[in-house]
Amino acid sequence: MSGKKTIEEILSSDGKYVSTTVGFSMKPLFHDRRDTIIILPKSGRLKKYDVPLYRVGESYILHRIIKVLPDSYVIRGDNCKDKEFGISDEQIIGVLHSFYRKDKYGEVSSLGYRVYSVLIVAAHPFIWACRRVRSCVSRLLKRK
Amino acid sequence: MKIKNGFVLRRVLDEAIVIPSGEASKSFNGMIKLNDTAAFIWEAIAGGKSLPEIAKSLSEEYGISVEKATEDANKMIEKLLTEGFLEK
Repeated sequence: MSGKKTIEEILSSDGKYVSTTVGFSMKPLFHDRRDTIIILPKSGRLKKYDVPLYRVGESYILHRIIKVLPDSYVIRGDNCKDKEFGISDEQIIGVLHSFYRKDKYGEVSSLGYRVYSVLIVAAHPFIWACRRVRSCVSRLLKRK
Repeated sequence: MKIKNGFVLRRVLDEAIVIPSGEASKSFNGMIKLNDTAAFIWEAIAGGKSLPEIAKSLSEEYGISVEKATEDANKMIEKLLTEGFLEK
């Protein structure tokens, strides 16, 4: 029997889960293996802009809620193009409470973070339009 | 002595936790909780203090003798060395 606890078990026994961020999907907020996230157990339904930790198969994902539906959530990573539909409350095991970006501590309840959350979601179409244009220009330049 | 590259102390909801970051997080998957004294010593080491300096600070902070503080700091440092969080 493995002695390693699951994240669900850690959240249940310790009341929090602390981890180093892995991946690029929440850039520019979190960088791969640089930042620290503090996750608390979920209580009740989540709100738009909350960042849940949820499970898809064997994988754990930390992305942002961009729309709350009656029976599920629409979720997207800040650095991701595509939305994820149909994420249910049952899949969500915790929610981002606070974090360290490098060595600077921040809480999701802070004004600065809340402004960032609104802006990053609102700016998504423009960011991806700019990336697409940049990609097209880059390809055209390579052809010449 | 110094803290190995890639291990950081985080204050999380009144607890002190050491977790890996960067390359260290690829090989060390977990975290260790430190009590107040251990966290104090960790931060002193991170700040580049020597053992006598750590013992003096510990003695002043917790109102204990320098001898007792040196003993406690030594124990903690030995433990951190054994666990692989420090290097000489």
